[in-house]
Formats: sequence, C-alpha cells, structure tokens
Amino acid sequence: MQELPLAQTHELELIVDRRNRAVLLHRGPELEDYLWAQFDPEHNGLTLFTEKGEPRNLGLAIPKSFSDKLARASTLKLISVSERLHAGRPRQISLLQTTEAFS
Amino acid sequence: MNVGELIERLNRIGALRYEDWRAWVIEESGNSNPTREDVNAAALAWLKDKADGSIWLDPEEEQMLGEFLENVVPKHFDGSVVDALAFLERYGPEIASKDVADLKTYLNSPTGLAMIEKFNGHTGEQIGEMSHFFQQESNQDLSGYQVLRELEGPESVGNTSGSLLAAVTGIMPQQPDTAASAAPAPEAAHAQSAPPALMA
Repeated sequence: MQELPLAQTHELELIVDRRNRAVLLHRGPELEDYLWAQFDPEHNGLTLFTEKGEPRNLGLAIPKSFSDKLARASTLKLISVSERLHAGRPRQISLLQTTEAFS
Repeated sequence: MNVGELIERLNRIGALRYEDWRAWVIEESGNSNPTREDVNAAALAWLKDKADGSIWLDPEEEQMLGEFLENVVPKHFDGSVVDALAFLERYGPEIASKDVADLKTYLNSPTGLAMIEKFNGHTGEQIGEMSHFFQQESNQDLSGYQVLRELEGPESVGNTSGSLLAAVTGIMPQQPDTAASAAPAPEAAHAQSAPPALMA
C-alpha cells in the first residue's frame, strides 16, 4: 500500500536560501532512513527514497519561483524539530533532479 | 576524567550546545540577536573565568579546561570555543574513553587532525555522491540550529506557514507568492520553548 504523502503525517517546511541551500524541517513521527531525494521540476514534486528505492512524496505544492531555486540545489539537509522545538542534528542526503537521475 | 565525562558534565550544565550559550547571552545581555562572535566571546570569558579558580571545578578539571582553552581552541578552532564545543558534541562520543589530559595530543595526531579537518568542512565536497559514506560522514558537524541560522534569505513552502523555522530560530522565512500546501496543515507550530537554563 502506498504511504500517505509526508505532509499529511508531519509538519513540513521545505526551505531554500539565496545560496540554493535546501533544508527540510520536519516535525512529527521519526522519519524513515531516507537515502536521497529527487525533485521533478516539471511537476514540481519532491520525493524522498529509502535505500530500497521506496518513494515517499512530500505532498507539497511547490510554486515556480521556489522550484527554480530548488532545481539548483544538489543536497538536502533533513532536520527534525522536537516537540520542544529544538532542531536535531542535520542529515544530509543527495538531491537529484529528475532529468539528471534518468539521464 | 575522560572526554565522555567532560561532555556529560558540560551538557548537564548547558555549556556544550551553541543554542544554550546563545540563549544565555540573550538573557544576560538583553541583545536579542547576538552574533556568533558575541556568543563565542561570552562563552570564552565565562569558561576562562571558571578555569582560573572555581568552586565549579576541581583542580584537575580546571587544568584540563585551561589546556583546552589555551591550546586546543586557538590552534584547531581559530579561537572559537563554540566551534570547539560543537566539535566535542559531534565527535566526542567517538573518543569518549580518551582521557581529557590526552585530548591535545590526540587532536594533534593524524587521526585527530583528520577529524578536525572533517569537522571544519574540508572534506565534505562529495556533493552529489549518493552513498552511505556521504550520508553518514559528510557535513553533519553543525548542529541543526546552526545550519538554520546560517541560511541567507530563507524562503519556505510547507504546511506550517514558516512557523517551524521561526519557532526554532526566530527567523521568519519568506513565503513564495503562490505557496500552497497539497495537504491539510497539521497543528501549527507552537511558541518557542526555552532551552535549558545555562547555569546559575
């Protein structure tokens, strides 16, 4: 059975900054051990993958202006936020663009 | 006293993590947005004071702290005690059984130097390599808080309207014009709770 989009089970904030650094803040149940992320600029979708290649879509609509920046990021830092709103240690994974993933 | 005990002790009094020092500086100085340099200067001054006669430390611990501040911090961390503490937080558990008296020697060894180099980010260039090595060993040296604080002009999309980043760091990210969530928003993030008080 396909898992629910992450945005339906967690509080999520996908962040990019001026230097195209991408961070996913998440709050809620512990995440699976995701190994990489894939961004599909054409459909503006971001999906996380486990080592076995199992996908979990974020379920966030990503506006064009944001997606242009995200398309230039090559890594994604996953940072959990605790109930007490403390940031956990970042876990950095590769962020692939769909075109490069299948080229 | 070994490194593990040192870390435990620093952690217990809230003197290990950067965000605890920062909260303390905010509380003490009234400056709501201290720079990293401000925080470092305050931490250094406090620790130097404690290393020079304190009821908080026994003589052996004072000596250790003095060595740490005088030799390890300037030599390997450009005088940044908060970086040195962040290093201990990150790598301390891996060298927990080492005696703190040997810390300086260890950090000057090839293994220790490689560890510091990795901490300082010189070997985190394997961006794009999808491997366990990258995931486990790359730039995880900075605390999450620090990573978030160093973002420049952050913009966010999500189901919290930017309130998570704001609650953790006090920085409200920009929202793209047409930002929207595909999913119903869970409960909004709550007001920031205070990190543990540093020390009396």
